[in-house]
Amino acid sequence: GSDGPSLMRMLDAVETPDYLRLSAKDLKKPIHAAITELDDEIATAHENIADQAIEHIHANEVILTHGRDATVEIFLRAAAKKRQFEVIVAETSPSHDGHATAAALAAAGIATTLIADCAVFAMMARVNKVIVGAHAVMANGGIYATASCHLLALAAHHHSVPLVVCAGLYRLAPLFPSGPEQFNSLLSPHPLLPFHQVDEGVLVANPAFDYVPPDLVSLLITNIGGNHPSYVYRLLQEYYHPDDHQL
Amino acid sequence: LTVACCPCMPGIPADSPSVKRERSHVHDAYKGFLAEESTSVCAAAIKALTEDIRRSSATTLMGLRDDLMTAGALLKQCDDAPISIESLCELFVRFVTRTALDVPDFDKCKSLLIERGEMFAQKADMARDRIAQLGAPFVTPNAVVLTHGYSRMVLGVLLGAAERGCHFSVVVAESHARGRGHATAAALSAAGVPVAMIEDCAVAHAMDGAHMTLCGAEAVVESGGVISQTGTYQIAIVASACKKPFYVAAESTKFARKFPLSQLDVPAKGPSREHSAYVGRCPPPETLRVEVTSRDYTPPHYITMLFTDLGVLTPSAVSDELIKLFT
Repeated sequence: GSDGPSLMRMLDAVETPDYLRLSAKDLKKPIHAAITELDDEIATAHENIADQAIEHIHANEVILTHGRDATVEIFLRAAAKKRQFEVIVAETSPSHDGHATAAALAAAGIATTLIADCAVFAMMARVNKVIVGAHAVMANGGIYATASCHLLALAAHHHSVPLVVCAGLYRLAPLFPSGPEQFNSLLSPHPLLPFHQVDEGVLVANPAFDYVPPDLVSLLITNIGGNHPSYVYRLLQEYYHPDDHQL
Repeated sequence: LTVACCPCMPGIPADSPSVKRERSHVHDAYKGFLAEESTSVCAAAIKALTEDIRRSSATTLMGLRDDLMTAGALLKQCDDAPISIESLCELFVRFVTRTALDVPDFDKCKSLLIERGEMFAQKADMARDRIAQLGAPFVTPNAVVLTHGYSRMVLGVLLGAAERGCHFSVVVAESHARGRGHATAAALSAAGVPVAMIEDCAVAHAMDGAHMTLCGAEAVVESGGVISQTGTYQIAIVASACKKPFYVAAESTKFARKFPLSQLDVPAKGPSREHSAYVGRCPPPETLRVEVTSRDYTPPHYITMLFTDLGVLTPSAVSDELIKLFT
């Protein structure tokens, strides 16, 4: 049940407790228990997500992914134990995290292909699913993921390829983004254009993340199961007290 | 010769003195509350219903319930009654039923009902501040916001954003039929927000330059769509075509148990007005059919987000809230 305001409670004279005035003596144990629980959840999130892998990856499918995400790697390796499939990894310049992912997947016995980011659209016609990780899942169902994820999402949408996001629920944020710039950060431009090569007057932007709007995400696989992004508001109600939406 | 019958008391002609007296009480109370500057339409309706409970001479809970239903039905016939008056009544009636189990004594129950009604009205009054608090962060610096008509909730959001020190500008579509856009423009200019006034037909032209659209609603229906002033649906379609977010600001008391499937399912009766095309012109020829629509229905897939006092909701969350309330 949710603690949030609802039409049902409109007519109830509920006195909202003043949390600042409650005694702190009895709070230590419950807080400790809650933190331990959260710790366990984060530790087991990868396994819970990986357990769902065989439901989503079928024999002889072609999966596209990018960047380096532990959740996605464990997910794909778990599926590879039971099924034969291929993975195409976009290299994700300028960090080239895709190289490490491709090497790890190949070491696990999965048929892997490494491609440049610009080849994503061309390859998308042959892809059955796009599976990516997320840095954060926002309150509207959109995600912040490694830069170039929006490119993948748009290419997938164009080819009617489902975009599956693997993210533990601890990545859920009660914030509503207004666009890619809002919760983003810029990384060092050096990998993109080395310092000694730079001339005056060139602005180099190396954003860390991309914002993917909820209508491009087909499925959100979390440690409690698979959900559609439009369901995120429910998960939020269960995980965050409405008073904690704005800290 | 047809005699209009009062809908809730069959057999009693609508203009019988007892019904007339009742109607005038409820109508007057409603109009009185509505005239207060800061009271929204829903808060005025709640206050009128609470007033009706106070004046009720019923001695049983069933009698009280009947009085409430009568008052609700009479209010519905009022010209500027909100569409959600039915659900407001239902909320009250359900509360009576629930309270009846906890408080068997009738007088205690009645005074509890009045107390809660007043509290409800207070909460409804505070809804505007809550919506402003939730919606203001969505107005980003240097944004151009497109709106139309006059909605206290929309004004609350925009003025709230201005108070936070956000620099943005607004494009207001006039809403020619009743010219309500002018009131919005005046209120915004008074707060120092740069405003541009456009004609309703220029909305598509102006949409490319806008960053977001914000409109009010008369009712939020079960599907998550909204029923609001004519022109809102148009703006939503244009916003969707130009890939701009379309936001709606509405209090939770506007949630109604309706599920329109098309424009024809929208309650036809709105505030009566002249057809704006013929003001100042000679009347139309006999064979020309003239239509006046005051409301339209905007389906949920055009709406990006709803700012309500229950929180920022996606249209799918609205149906969840309504299910929680009415089951």
